[in-house]
Parts: sequence; structure tokens; C-alpha cells
Amino acid sequence: MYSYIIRRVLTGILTFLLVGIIAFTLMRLTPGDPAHFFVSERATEAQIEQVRERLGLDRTPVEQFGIWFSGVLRGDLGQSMYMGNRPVTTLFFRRALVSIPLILLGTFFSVILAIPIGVISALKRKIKKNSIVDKVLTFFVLFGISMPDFWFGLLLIFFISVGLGWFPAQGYVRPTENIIEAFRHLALPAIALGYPRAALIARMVRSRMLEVLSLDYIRTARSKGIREMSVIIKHALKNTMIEVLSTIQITIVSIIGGIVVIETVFNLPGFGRLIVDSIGRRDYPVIQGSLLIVGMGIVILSLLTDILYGVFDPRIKYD
Amino acid sequence: MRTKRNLILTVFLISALLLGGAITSLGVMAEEGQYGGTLTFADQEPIVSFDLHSEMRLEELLMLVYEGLTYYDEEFVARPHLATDWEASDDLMTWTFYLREGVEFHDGTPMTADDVIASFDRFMEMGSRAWEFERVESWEAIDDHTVRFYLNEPWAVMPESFALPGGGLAVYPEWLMDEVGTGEIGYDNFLAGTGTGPYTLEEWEPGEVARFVRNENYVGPEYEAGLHAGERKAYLDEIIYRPIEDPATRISALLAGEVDVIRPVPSDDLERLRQDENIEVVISEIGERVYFKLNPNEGVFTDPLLRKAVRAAVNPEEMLSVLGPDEAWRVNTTPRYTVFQQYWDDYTDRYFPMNVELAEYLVEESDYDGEEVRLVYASDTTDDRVTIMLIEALQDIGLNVRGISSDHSTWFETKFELDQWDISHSSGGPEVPVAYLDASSRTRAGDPWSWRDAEFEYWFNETQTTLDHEEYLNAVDNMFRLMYEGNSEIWIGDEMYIVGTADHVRGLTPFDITSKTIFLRNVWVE
Repeated sequence: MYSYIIRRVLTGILTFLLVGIIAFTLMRLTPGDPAHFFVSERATEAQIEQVRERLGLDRTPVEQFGIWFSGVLRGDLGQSMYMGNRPVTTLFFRRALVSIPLILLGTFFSVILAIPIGVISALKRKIKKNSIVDKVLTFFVLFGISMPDFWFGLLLIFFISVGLGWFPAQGYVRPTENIIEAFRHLALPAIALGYPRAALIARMVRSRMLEVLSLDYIRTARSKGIREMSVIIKHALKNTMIEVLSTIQITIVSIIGGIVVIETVFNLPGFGRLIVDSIGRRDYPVIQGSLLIVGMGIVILSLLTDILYGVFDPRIKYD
Repeated sequence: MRTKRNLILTVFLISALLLGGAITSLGVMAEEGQYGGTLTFADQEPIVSFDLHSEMRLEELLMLVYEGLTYYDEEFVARPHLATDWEASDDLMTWTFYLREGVEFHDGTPMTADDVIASFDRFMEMGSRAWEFERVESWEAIDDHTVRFYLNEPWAVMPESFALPGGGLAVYPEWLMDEVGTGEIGYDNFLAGTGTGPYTLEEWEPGEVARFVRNENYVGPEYEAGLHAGERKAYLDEIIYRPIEDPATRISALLAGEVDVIRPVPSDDLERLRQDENIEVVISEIGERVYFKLNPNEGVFTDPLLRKAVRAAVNPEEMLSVLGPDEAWRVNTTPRYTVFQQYWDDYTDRYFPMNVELAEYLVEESDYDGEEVRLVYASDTTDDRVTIMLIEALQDIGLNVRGISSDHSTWFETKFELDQWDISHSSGGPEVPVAYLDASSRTRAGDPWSWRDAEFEYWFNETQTTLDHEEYLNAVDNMFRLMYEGNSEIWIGDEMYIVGTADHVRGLTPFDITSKTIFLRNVWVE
């Protein structure tokens, strides 16, 4: 187990280096000179060159990478070219306090919606081939998966916020200021992220449950007189969790991608919007630093998922 | 009977007078601003810096905190601000500015000539508009409230050149200028009480929020406000700025009562906002200019006949109609520079008739041989729609045009590569001083200006060195003629700035939002 974790950590370090190189290279390959954002439309070439010098962009790409990555190894991701020259780590982690609760809430909403739908669909399908409940629930999840995040988000704003006034249309309140308001501000974005992704998990739960419910040990459990609820949750559902966990992991990664759009739609100051804004201004240190942290987050998530497999299925060995 | 009628008439007249008086006084009261309250304002862009020496957007928010020596009034004449008065020597080689007394930075230290000199030192080293001050050779503080500038050639418009808010000479404390030198002013310094304006910056999280609080010790000009100049009353206790990038979210936030003022409002949403009785819409007097640049230095448009053909082929009215309802745009085929804007009615009819037959004839007469014409533009909705109409118009007269769309940054960089494009879509605010037309540099923003020749330079120098208004206008007229003959910019019209406000917001006028500028300094809430 431990040797497996150490191996994964070492792979993670390699991934870290690769993400750093890719993030750095991609930004240099993207057209658009950050220096142009610091000068007016009327600036001379000499003025632009002066700014490039100040930003260190006059050095060779290899030199620039060396300076940046040696800083990264010391825990210094550099400073934003804009935003009052604030350190990238300060900017990112401040924004992460918005994004991480949103990711967790979106995932929670997704799972809490998907598992009952998947289980009920499977049970109804098992009882009757053309079950209406199964068809309605299948339509419900397919409807979710067919809708783009931003469109669903705008619908929620229009009907629930502006129409009914139940939740705020945009913005964010920090939990330290008012925990209930913080939740209210995150509720609609979490639904916008969670509902479309619930479909994927629900489909996985449904198909796995259908398989598991046909297995002999389920029949044996029922014949032993174990309560139906216990059979479904303890015996059937638990055995679907390996695949479901993988799907949840994919869902989280998908939500991390989705927050880029949803944070813009709901005007949330999370790291998704930080990355988008920084790309627009070619704020290299912020983009590179943010991609590096997000990349590492995903590596850690993958490792945790692998470890959880063992919890749900003791047969899995890590050697 | 007559007496009774007279009595009734008298009572009626007195009542009418009293009522009229009451209404008038109510009206006056309604015009008087009320102190107090909080206003939440949402624009699409985040505040990324408060350094006005660089040309930053949202300068009206930055100007709540930081200020300059002079500002333009509605006639685009420089008026006093941190400088109360100024004088030039007879030969226009020396300018002396007298500073307002009693002005303090927000940390309580008095503003003096040393602060102005230190700010000008930095501005000349790194300011985005420093090139406009190339004539200024040296500068010094004469006493605590007097600064003097020594020039290497006569210059008549120095106070006007100080007057632009964005990229201009904002005054920061001397200690701060010494600390940062030509580098960026850091986050903490903006929150350290380093401004002189009517509001102090109390909180700022870049990209999230900026909170401004009334400066109770504010000392400023007392004459009536107009455009950037004049009195700045800090009616509000607090102004909160929250950027909302997505237009649909911005509008929803206003409709849900979460913000008080939003900008910009897409013209497609104008009617939707008007249907809400709690919302008001204000449309600017002058808008963002939509225009196209032709490249007269390389490629097909080195041929002046082909440039004229483009001018004759476009129908600005038809092109702008895609921008929404009539009130959201205005045909304006004059140059976009401030000084010409004032006379645009005169110029429009004189120079720019559309004539497709003429355009086709000019294409035939030119050396054009079917080469590809590359039209580069930044992709957003407005650019897309107007640009596509231009492409169609030019294809109709036989030009082989290809539209090349990219993000703003890529498009901006492409403009500098003169071999990469033939036509470039552009847009810009109207507040561009004549100094922008300075003929001394040919590479600024990749602008290839065919009309920059000796004659243009002569008239340009006239505008910069004469104090006689008639002579100035004559020079401007000649510059305009040369620009028209050069035909390297195709001016289409103005897309108006539209602002949505909650109905309790007062003090916003259409002229105030000209050039995207909302003067929150004089805005109040009921």
C-alpha cells in the first residue's frame, strides 16, 4: 500500500513537471503579447519594449522558464502582471475559497440526485421492462446531459432569481461573513453544475445495478430473508461503487472544467474566472501557476480515488 | 358679478402662483442631491490597477480616488482641478501651474509641488502618454504650490494635454513615487491613502470588488461640473464596484435589485429593461466609434483609388442598423478625434456620399487584380455583425475579401504586422486629443496613416502652437481635409453607451456617460 502511494507520488511529481512545461509552452505559443495590455493604443515600439523588459519577456523562453520554475520549486509562483502585482498563490487561494465549496456542493448535488435516480430506474426496469418511472427518470437525466451549463445557469437565474426571487442572481458572500448567504449564493451555481453531470453518474448506477441485481448472491440474500432495502443498499449498491467512484472522479474533473463558465455566468470570484480573466490579459504567471495547482489537485484526487477503491472492495491489492 | 369673477380669478391666480412656486421649489429640491446611501455599480471589466499613469480602463472609478491637474469640460477646454490656474510665457516655451491649496492625500499629508514633480518624473519615464510631452525638457517646483515646465519648442495646448484622465498625470505622493520608481504601484500602496479624490479606497480585491468611502476632508474645485471637470460632490457614503462580465447576468442583477447601475447594456436588451417600471435607461450623447483602418503602407491599399472605392462602397446606415434600435447608434463619418467630434454635423454631409457605381468604377480603374484582401477583426458580437456587412459590401464591388477573426489580444498584435492585414476593424472612444495625430511617430499601434506628410505636419504644428482659436480651427479643418484625402480610415458611426439604473439613482445625465464615463462623484440615491 505504502509503496504504491510512494510510486504514485513520484509519478505525481513527474506530472507536476510536465504540467508546468505544457502550461508555460502553451502560453508562449498563444498569440498576443502581454506588454500590449500595459501600454496605450498609441504606444511606440520603444515603450512596448520597455514594458517587455520590465516583465522579463525580453529574455529567451528557456531563461523565462528557468526563472519561473525555480521560483515554483521554492514555493513562489510569481506575481500577477496586473492586479496590483499580488502573489499568484494569494490570488489563487483566495479564489479557491469560492471554487472549492462550489465544486464540493456541485458534486454533492450531482451524487445526491444521481444515485437514487439510478437505483430507482434499475429497480423499476428490473420489475417491468417498459416501466414509466424508468422512462421518466431516464428522460430527466438525458434532459440534463443535453443542456449546456451556461444555458441551464441562465434559465435558473431568469426563473428562480429574477422571477421568484428565491436565490441571488449573482455574486458571492464569504462564509465568514454570513454562512447562510454564502450557501444561498452557491446553491444555483451548484445546481447548474450538478444536474447535467448527475446524468452520467445515474446512467452508470442504473446499468451496474441492473447487472448486480441479476447476480446469484443477491438472490441468495433475498432468499435468506434479508430486508429488501438492506439487499439494495448493502449488497447491491456497495458493489456498484467501484465504477461509480470512477464516474464521480470524472464528474469532479468535469465540474472543475465547468466552473470556468458557471463562475462567469453567476459572477462568482473563483479560480475559474481568475484563469479566464488572466488568459484574456495574457497574465502568464497567474495562468501558469493556476494550471499547475489545478493539475496537482487532479493528480491528488486521482490518488485518493484509487485508495478509496480498496475501501469499497477489499479484494483490490496495491502491490 | 364682475367683482365676484375678479375675486375668483384673483384667488385662482394666487393659488396657481403658490402651487407653481411649490412645484418649482419641489423641482429644485428634486435637483438637489441627497447625502448618504450606498450605490452598487457593475461594469463588465475588473479594476486591475489604480495606476493612472498607465492607460487603464474604468478611469472614472480611478478618478474617484486619484486626480490630475486639469480636466476637460463639455467644450473640451481644459479647466482647473488640482491646478487652479496656469500661465504661459509669451513665446510659449515656459508654463507655470499654480496648485490648489489645502488639498490633502487621504492619509492626511498635504499635497505639494514636490508631489506633482515626483509624479511627473515617473510619468515621463513610464507613462503611456508621455510621448505627448516630448516638448517638455525640464520641470521644477518653484514653491509649495507652484510648478514650472520648460519646453524645447512652443506648445499652446499643455493644459489640454494634462486634461485626459486615462494615462494622464495623476498626482501621487512623492514618497510613493520614490518607492516604486518606474515599476508598478503595488496593491498595498493603493489602499494606503495615497489619493486626493472625493472618495477613499477602503477595500479592493482585483476582479472581485472595490469599495469607495466618502472623503470628508475633500478639497476640490467649486464650479459647476461638466464632462470631467468641475465640482465633485461625494453624495454617497459608499460606492461598491462589482465587475459582472456576462451581460445577461448583469441585467439579471439589476432586475433582481442586487445592483443599482449597470454598464454596458446590450442594445438588444433595451426594451426589456424599459418594461420594468423600477429601471431607467440612459443613453449617451456620443458613443464608441466604429471604424475600419486600411493599410496604405503594404498590399492592395497602397493604391489610393482602391481606398476611395472602399469609402464609396460602404453604407454606414445599413451597417449600423444591425446594432439594434435607432437610438443605440448614429451614423458619424467624421474622424473620431475629439476636436472634430464637436463639428461633426458640418462634416458628415460634406465629404462622405455613398456611391456603389463610383466604387465599382474606381475598382476597375485601380491596379487591383483580384488579390485576397485580408480583413482582421476581434471577435465579439458587434464587430462580427458590422464587419460581415463590410465584407459583403466589398465583395459586391468585386473585391476578394476574407475575414480573419481572432481574440482581442491576437488582433491587437496583428495590427503591428503591416504585412498581415489589409483592413482592420477598430473601435474607440471619442476622447482622443489632437496630439494623438502627432506625425513624429509612424509605428504607434501599427497605425499606417497615409495622410502624415509634410503638409499634415505643418497644420498639426499649427494646432499645437497657436493660441488663436480661429487659426486653430482653420488648422483642424486642413488636417481633416488631408485625412479625408488620405482615406486610410473608414469612419462608420457611433455605438451609443447605454446604462441601466435603478429608479432611485439620481444625477446621471446622457452627456455624463459619454465616452463610457459615469461620474459617480455627483451621483446620489433617493
